[in-house]
Amino acid sequence: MKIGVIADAHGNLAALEAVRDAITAAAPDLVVNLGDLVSGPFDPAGRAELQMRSGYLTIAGNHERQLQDDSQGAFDVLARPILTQEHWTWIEGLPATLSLCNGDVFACHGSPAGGDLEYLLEDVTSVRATLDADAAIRPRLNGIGSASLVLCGHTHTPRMVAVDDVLIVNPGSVGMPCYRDRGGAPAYHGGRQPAGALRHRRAS
Amino acid sequence: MEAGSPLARYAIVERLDAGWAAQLHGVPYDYEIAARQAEAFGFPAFAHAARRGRILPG
Repeated sequence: MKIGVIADAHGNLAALEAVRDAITAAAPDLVVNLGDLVSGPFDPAGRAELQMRSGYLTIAGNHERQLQDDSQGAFDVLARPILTQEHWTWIEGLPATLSLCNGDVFACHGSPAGGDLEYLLEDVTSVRATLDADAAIRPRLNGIGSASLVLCGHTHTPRMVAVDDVLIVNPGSVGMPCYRDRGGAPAYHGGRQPAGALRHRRAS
Repeated sequence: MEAGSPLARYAIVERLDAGWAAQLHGVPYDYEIAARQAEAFGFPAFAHAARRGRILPG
């Protein structure tokens, strides 16, 4: 089983096209898109379209939730008017997490236990994203079941980290290689933690 | 958060007999396209991010 993983495209269509071509050349069995799809300062027209039609298994990031929550975050405000009804229907139907490969792979945007705004692997109190301690990461993995691989995004920081018997992989951001974190919530996120339980969808 | 390069990122993971293998990849693309879009929308810091992979100083 070979899986392509992308996250945090933030509407950068030119970067998405380059990544799509590279992943296609690698011929994975499936591709997972970990969310934060459209909201961003780049291409407002093509970005939703390409991702919706990609055939990638896609989950919602905090920005997909914020688009639906009337967030006034600058990137969400910019993205909202360009979405067609078909795009909205697609976004509204995206799950918050995915379980793949008979439960062996768990995919989320932020962290399994903490939702789409929590950093699974990083301590950002110094503004720089430094790798957090095992003991800090471990409780954030609650909810992954029997998974031996966890895919996450949100911090735009590529990493592979092993905690106990679980490998955690963050691919980094397709098209927004950095941003300034302001007090634990990335700039322009402007949203709130998800209310209630995360929606969870089992894909295979 | 600062990836340190403008390359577009993705990962490939693969289940091997010994466990999961992971590869973190970066591919170049035409950064100017993204940077000019960000500038046109009034986000110079994100134009700099797209060109350099670094946070705009200051």
